[in-house]
Amino acid sequence: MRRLVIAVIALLGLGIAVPALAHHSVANFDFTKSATVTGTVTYFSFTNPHSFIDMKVKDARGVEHAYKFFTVARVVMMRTGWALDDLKPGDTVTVTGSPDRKTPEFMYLSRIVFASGKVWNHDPALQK
Amino acid sequence: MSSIRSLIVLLALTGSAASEAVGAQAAISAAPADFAGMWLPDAHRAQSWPDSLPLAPAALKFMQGFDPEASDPTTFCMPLGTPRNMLQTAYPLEIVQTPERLLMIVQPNLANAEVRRIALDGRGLPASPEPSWFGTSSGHWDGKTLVIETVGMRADAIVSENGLPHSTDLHVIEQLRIVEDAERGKVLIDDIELHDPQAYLEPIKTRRYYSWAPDARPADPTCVDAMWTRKLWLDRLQEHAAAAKKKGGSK
Amino acid sequence: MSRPLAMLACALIGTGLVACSRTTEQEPARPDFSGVWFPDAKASGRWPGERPFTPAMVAAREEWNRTYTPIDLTRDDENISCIPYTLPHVMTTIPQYPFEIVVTPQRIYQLTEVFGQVRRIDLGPEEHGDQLPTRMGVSHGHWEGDELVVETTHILPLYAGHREPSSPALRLVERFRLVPDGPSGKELHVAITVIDPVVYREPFTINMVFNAAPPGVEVGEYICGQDLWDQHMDGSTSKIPWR
Repeated sequence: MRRLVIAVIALLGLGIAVPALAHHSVANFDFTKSATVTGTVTYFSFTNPHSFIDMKVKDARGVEHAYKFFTVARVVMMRTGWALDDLKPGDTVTVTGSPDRKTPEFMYLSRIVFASGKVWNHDPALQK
Repeated sequence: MSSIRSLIVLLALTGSAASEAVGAQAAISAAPADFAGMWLPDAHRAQSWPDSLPLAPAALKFMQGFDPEASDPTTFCMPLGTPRNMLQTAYPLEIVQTPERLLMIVQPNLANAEVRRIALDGRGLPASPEPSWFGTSSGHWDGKTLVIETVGMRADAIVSENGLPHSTDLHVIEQLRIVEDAERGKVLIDDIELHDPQAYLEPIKTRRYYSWAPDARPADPTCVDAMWTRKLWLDRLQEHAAAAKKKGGSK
Repeated sequence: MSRPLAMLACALIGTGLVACSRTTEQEPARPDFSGVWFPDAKASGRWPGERPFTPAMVAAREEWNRTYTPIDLTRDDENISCIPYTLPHVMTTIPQYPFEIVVTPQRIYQLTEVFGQVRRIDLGPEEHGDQLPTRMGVSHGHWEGDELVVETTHILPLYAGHREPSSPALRLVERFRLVPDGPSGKELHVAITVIDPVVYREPFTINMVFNAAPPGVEVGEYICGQDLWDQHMDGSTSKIPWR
């Protein structure tokens, strides 16, 4: 891992395109930060290569914000315990994730509590 | 002497573990037919669709208003899907046969290879299959014919390039057999029946012929490359246009 | 070993690991690589940190970068845009996506979940005649004891600025070995040697480890452009963040 990190820095120094380990670069998310919000699902794209969830979240003052949560592929979700009917528009859910560096309402999902109370976790270290 | 003893033990074991352990080749030889290999669809002998298809009103309406640009998945490099991948006459079909399964592999010029996995272990069909592009299939032998039943096919896949639709209730029954044709040599025949009470007033039946073609090689797809190039080109054109506008028309 | 004794040996060993598939009557039992395999991120090796590029390649890459960078990978990544992998990346990528190996006497198939690719490793006699390059190339395997040695050529070359550039001279030598009782249970070890004298000063080897999937886990249906198609069909205008 360390050799790879050094290699990545070296390559960045040369201005050469960084070889992405990931199928898709998620360098836009700041995995050192985490936030949890509760809101209503407005759209759920349950698909490959990545699923995403649109939510309406009310802040402390009651102002509504639009959030977008990014996660892994549908095939991976279903292999790791996500059932077909776990999430649908209209559900109230609590989601934890790491924010995009520029747009904090765009987050990488790491944990979700469904309307049913069921919990699904995903380790962002396995992000692809 | 020890060879004879071994032989006796071997004979004693026959019918139990020994016959299972003897190997893939023997087991395939033991199957009623061996479909394995490369096959090329015979476009000339593909049975045409009847002029008047027995379509339910919604299916008829869909087909009459069909716009390939909007509703043909292949316009987006999305799959042919089952059964369209068996009805097509442009790309080779590779069949892989093991004792437990038949794989049918079609590599059209689209984003994905299409791999149909047909269980041969008599497991039957799921009651509520999740709709997929390639369906869920189970096969059983009827003499030397393999009867393949497929359910769970997505309704956004179409059956033909003219927009013949199907619902998620579609149940495809295929009868696959090999004949020796005096002129053509080994020929694979697929009799295909489409049963869909939601979309069709009665089952639709058709036949496809494939010729044995051991030297055929599937080509790499270029569909996505073309789409990506087109996207890049369009994006860049837009960027250049925007940049030019900013500079007040200079390039 | 006489054939009856070999068959007895097969019968006693059972079908778990030794399928006793054979191409000729005289061949001994071979390890069976069939099944669904997941790459092991921790146990697998990686591409060398410093690639041993030839001086010509270094120059070519610098030239390419001068012309084309900076590139916004979140927008212009060819694999996100559904252009499939070539070899050897197909074997060295470490995602959460499995592949399936199907073994038949004359050919071994590798079916990947991501990009739905089909790799064919021929076990029979070498073919003659030229082949067009493809992403999966042309692979021939032969046994050396319990190892399957696979040589692959005719791989579609990748441009100088690619993360893993290649020339038409690229040749891979892979050694497949079954490890029934590895640290993670049943494992498939593949040592991949990359030989491309136009690109690299010297060959290098990446040691991959794959773990057998838990029972009942199969390669799923994964079509790369599915998200675009789904949104086209449901009419939503919600922005797909990575597109």
